Amino acid sequence: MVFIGLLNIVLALIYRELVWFRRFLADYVVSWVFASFISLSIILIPMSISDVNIVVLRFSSVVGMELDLSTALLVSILLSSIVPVVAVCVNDVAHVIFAEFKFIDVGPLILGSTTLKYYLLANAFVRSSLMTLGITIYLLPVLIYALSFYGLLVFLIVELSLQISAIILGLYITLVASLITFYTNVSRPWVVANLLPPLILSGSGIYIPTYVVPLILRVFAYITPIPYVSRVLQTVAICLSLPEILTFLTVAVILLTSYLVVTTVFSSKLEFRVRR
Amino acid sequence: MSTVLVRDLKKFYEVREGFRGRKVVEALRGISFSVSRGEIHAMLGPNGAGKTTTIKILATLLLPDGGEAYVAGFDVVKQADEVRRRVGISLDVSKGFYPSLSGYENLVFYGLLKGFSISYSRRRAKELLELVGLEGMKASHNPYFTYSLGMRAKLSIAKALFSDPEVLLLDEPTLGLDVESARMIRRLITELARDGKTVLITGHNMYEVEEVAQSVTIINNGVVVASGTPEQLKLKFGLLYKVSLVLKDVGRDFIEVFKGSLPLEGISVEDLGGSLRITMYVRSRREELVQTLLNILEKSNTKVLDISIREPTLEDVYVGLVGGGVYRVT
Repeated sequence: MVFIGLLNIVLALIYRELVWFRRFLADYVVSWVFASFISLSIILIPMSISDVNIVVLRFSSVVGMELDLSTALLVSILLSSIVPVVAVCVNDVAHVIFAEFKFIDVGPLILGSTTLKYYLLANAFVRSSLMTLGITIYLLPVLIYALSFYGLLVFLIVELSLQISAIILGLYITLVASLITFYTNVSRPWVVANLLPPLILSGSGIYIPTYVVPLILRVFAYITPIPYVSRVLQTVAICLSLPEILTFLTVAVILLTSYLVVTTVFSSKLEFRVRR
Repeated sequence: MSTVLVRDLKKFYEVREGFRGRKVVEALRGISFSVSRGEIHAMLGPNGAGKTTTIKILATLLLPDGGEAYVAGFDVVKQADEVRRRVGISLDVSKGFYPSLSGYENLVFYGLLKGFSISYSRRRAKELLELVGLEGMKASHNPYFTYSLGMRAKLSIAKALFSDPEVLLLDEPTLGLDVESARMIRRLITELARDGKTVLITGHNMYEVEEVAQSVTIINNGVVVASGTPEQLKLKFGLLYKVSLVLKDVGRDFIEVFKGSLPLEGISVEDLGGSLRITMYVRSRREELVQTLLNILEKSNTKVLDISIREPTLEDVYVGLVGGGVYRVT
């Protein structure tokens, strides 16, 4: 019964996301272009005003491994894909909860047809997962072009890692957004949600080595899977490192389990509170 | 057996006062009423009376703080899932859908959320858009945010009908609608009740309520102040008929004839120059009133230029009850 209830919501959410994807395709194209531009600019713009070897050397020191130009570009492309993933997961999952229950008042439509607990859980999984797929799909042609058949394998590993991270982020932001929406009188909740992506990204080791980042920012990052997925993406670009992937998977399982338990318990209590 | 049964229903809200202060607002203070199968029942009351709260509780959107409520025999608290399957709800017709999805897409999403298959949801969405007259308005393509208030109200009704529910809960379904659309919704509600659906509506349009509702509950400040059929309410509160006569060539003393023959609550005379306008408020059954008037006019052989008898309306009952004290004209 619970499974059927969840499946109904998942199907409804997939339908909604696909409609939105079709309607807002231009937004996705902009984000693909933006992410690609950043990833190439990281290396190519400094190269145009400085020596290639110095740029690659500097970039190698940021990553902590010796790289050649093509590998540096690949690392940059993969690392840059994390930025829009964090942005869309945090902002879109949070905003849809704010909008549904605070502004456009779709709450009665949801509460009148299903349970809030299942809806929030399904939304965290489906929205973050589909948004991540939509926002990173540009990597497939890019990686196949750069690495031919091996590029497909790299894409699958990258996409899987990003998907797992996105779902954990989705659960994390569901907790934050629900707290803001249902427990506070904040009139502009997106202000809080907009603060999270820079906080998470700054301590994640993407272009900025974590040892130079203040501890408090690292705490914000390390309660999410982003620092770990960033390490995986770096190593995947250089060589497939099984220990790095296993470390990521272990951390992901711990984080996923923790957030899942907390979100489930919290949303059960929330259900009662909202209907009360 | 009642399809909707509400017994001593209570609901409190805690609202903030200032930074740390809290105040308890009693939205419902023990209301009771019942609605039979196939009946259209109207809930009337001023803003903040508790109508929408009652509908939300019956739709399982809110939990009550006391009392009981049953829909189609299922407890709205303990058997909420069963209730949701049997209820269709339309709340605040101006919103409640995703602005960036079309009406059709919103309905399909709702159908999937309710547990229907994609093919059924698509078919049903099309049927309902056609039923409420949105099909010809490009509701399948245009996003909801472009809809007029009338289109939004129709979509809201379509959503309420999606699962072909036994019970329809409609909160001010014709609010803001143009005359044609409101008439269409009223006709639809009547037809649905004829098909055996139980309808609970709220509203402020007394004419509309009187036209469609078979029974009425008037609530004010969270308590039921009156209930019954519109006719029962009018009789119960002893309302008056307003009789207006324009008579030619009669003197002011003619009113004495009426005073002696009719149970008058008030009378006024206006000289129109060659004729008199006599306005009377009579407490009587309509048939007796008409017969007595005809007898008097026939006996006196007076030329009648104009005559009107205005029946008391549900609005008179409502104003009397909610406005404080039973309606009286003197």
